[in-house]
Amino acid sequence: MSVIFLNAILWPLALLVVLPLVMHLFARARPPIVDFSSVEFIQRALRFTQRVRKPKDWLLLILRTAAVAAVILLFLRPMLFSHGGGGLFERRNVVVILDASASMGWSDGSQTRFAVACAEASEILAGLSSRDAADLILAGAGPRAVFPAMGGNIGYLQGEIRRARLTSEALDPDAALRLAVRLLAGQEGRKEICIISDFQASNWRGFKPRLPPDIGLTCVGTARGESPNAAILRVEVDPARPLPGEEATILCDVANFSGAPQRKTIILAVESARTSHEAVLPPWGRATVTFKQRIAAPLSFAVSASLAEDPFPGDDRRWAVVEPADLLRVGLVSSGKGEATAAAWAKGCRALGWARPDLLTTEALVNPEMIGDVLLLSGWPGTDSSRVRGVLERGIPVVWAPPVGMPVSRLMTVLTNAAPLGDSRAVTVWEENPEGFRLKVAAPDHPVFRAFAAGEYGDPARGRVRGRLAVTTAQLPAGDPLISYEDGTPALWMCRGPLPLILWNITLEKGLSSVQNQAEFVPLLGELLLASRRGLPGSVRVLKDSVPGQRLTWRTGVEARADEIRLQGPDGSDVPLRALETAGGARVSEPVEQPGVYDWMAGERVMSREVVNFPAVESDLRPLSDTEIKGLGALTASSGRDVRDWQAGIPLWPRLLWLALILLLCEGGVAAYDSFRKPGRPPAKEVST
Amino acid sequence: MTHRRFQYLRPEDIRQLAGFEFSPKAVVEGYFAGRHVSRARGSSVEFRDYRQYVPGDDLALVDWRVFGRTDRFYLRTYDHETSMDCHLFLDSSASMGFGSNPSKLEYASFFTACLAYLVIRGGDRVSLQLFDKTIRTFIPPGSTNLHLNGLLNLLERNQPGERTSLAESLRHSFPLLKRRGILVVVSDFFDDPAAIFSALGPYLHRGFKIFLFHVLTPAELELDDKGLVSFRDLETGQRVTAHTDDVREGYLQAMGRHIDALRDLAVRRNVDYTVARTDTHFYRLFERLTQ
Repeated sequence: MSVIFLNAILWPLALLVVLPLVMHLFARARPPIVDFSSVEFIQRALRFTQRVRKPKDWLLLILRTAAVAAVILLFLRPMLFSHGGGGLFERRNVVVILDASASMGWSDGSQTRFAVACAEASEILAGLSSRDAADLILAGAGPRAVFPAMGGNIGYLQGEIRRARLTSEALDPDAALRLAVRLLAGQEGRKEICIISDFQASNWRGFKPRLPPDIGLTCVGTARGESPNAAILRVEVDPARPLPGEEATILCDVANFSGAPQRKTIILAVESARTSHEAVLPPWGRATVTFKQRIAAPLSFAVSASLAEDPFPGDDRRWAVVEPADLLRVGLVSSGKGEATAAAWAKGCRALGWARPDLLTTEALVNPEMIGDVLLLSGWPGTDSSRVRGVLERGIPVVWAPPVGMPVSRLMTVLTNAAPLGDSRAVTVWEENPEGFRLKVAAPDHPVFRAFAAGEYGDPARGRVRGRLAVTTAQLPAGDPLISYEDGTPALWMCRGPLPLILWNITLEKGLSSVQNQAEFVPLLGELLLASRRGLPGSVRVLKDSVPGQRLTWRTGVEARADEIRLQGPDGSDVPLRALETAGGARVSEPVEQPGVYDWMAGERVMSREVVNFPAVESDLRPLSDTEIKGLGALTASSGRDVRDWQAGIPLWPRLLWLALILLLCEGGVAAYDSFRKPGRPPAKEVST
Repeated sequence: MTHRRFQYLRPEDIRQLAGFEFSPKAVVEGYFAGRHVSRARGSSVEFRDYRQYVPGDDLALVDWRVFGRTDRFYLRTYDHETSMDCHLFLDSSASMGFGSNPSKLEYASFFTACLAYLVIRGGDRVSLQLFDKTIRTFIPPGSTNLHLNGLLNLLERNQPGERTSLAESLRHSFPLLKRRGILVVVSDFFDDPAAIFSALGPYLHRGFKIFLFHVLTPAELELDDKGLVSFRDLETGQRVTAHTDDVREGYLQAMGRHIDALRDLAVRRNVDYTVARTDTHFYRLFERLTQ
């Protein structure tokens, strides 16, 4: 901010500011003399009143001096300018960043934030003269400048503002500012960036603009009042790739971005079928609504969850593509004496019909494509545990049958690198019982045993085992027993936490165990494989989810040639594609604009489907506070007119006139204060005793 | 009565005073028989008490009826009615010259002259003492018209003098008063209240009935709005510059405290105290004296 005086020639008038002081001193110089009977009581009164009188005198003097100063400044005709202060004759370079992100679609009343922002941007540009240069950046996920370099065609920019459309993208403020700085680099004159945005807290909080010192930043906020909103933030399928005939769970996270509880109906649309559930959302809270969907065939299909319309409809619908698998791919790794167990597992998988065992080596564990949907480890001694942890972290369940003589500590370190407490030299010990150990179900309510609840499939714990690892629950990672031996030794141990690990302590070696010979073994193995992929806290694999403004990529496979691939948008129109030079014919789309399901097509055949969903970060419409906006290091303006005025210079004389009047009023008020003070002791009449 | 026209005792005043009688209920001591009750036993019609006869007593005072009943000699005693001495103390310090139409001194002189007239008309004796920081003039008690003329002449010649020292003057004048009676002090009391009542102590102890008339002008009681002025003390010449609006509240509080202190001490010492505003007629002060 800078001030220029148009009548600077009148600066000598400033000497008049001492006038009140001179008058003050002069007025006190020669008071008239009045004879009085005794000044003793006046002196007593003075001692009391001078304590009050002196500050009042000073206040009066200050008020009078300030009033005179305001009047003098008024005649000097000061003009206030924003950043740079180059004054009236300097060329200005203004880059207007217009927030076109999804949150700007909120309607504060009669018009959306974006419409307000466009009007403010137009107002700012209207304040520029013919010698000034400007550019407009439409900011979303990727900033788009109207001119590649600063230009003087303000009319065209205003036309672009009229043609500008709101996007469904999330705002990237840093990218927009970097582009603006690049545009202003090398320009002569005053440089300004003006951001017109709702300053949505979820986007802007914590953001610190890094600008060269010669560039001024002005912020114009368009958010007004409350913005209650409800949104669907997540739609996920559990398991991520269900099998035909399996009942999948579709999870919908619904959020309430308002200070009042809301009752919302969530509608799940699967093809033409619709199901609805009601949810009561606490203030600023979330709820997860689940839908069950039985998978009929190994064909992908789209599901969409939606809310009843609210004032901000963009985030009221969300899509997901369910891609069922025709077979469950089970990776099998065996070593040492674990081969017998692995063979029994493989035999069981083949008996299931819908599971395909693939024998792997530990080296193959780095490639998730080779592992499949579930990994079974038999006799793996826990060495190089980072590979298995990598598998677990990718959300692939692992069933591990540890070998004999393995350090017990590795049971822990497979889940975490932290070394366990206690004796690190202890190893797993084999113990045998000629009569055999009996098994029992420890957690009959677990989904693994749900199929056995009716008794149709027998007792899942049937069979005897003559040998086992002598482990205790203290030696195992935190978890719960699914099946245990009668003495409490864990036989099947489900670890807790985000990593889906199951420990298997039931040998399937012929002669030592009869479990694998039981009719219940195959259903038990099948249910274990299915349940291991489901609903473990935090282990639900998130489907690939794009947001508007991103580019979708098609990697060429054997199914179709790259040149015959096209991308069809939710409205049936094709999205322009271009070939990636570095990826052997892969196709990449232009940034997608519309949320919905996009189909990669070869001719009329759908090759793949991708989902573009509303960016969840745009759903919380609360803006930054004024203090936080000032914290960006910017000058804040309430409207584009203010910015234009600052650029063109604001004449301060009306404000100074008001200031002078107010000061004079205050001076009058202080001077008249004594008149309104409560009267002293009433004058004595005849007092007698 | 005199035929000369005096400034402070005008014919219209004399006509107005015809309805007044100065007869305060005070026990006095005097030489002449009069209307006032004396502590001395004497001859009058007011019976007081019996006392036993002692040799030397006048046998005419023996109550023979009592002797007939008791066979003992008892004398009847009567209250001695005597004339009253009224001592007028008039403050003539410089501060009494404050005010106009009338000044405090003029107002006090009117009151003093009329009071002296009333006393002499009642057959009692009146004395006058003019003082400032000390006794300027003292006229001993007298009850004749000639004496009254002298008092009035003195009042007319009187001018405001120097600083007030009421307590000092009271101390000096005590030996001058031979008999107890009525003491009337007319002053603006610009002195320490405790010192004033300390000086009045001997008078009270001797049995004087004391009346204090505190003469003040409205300007002193209300402090007129004069704006920023330099106040000059009439007694000391000291100057104090102040704005009347600023100091009025404090001044009135200080003046109020001074009056309250005088009144409280007066109540405690059984002294009659009256504030006399110069904008009220001095006749009203006689009502205080005759209550």
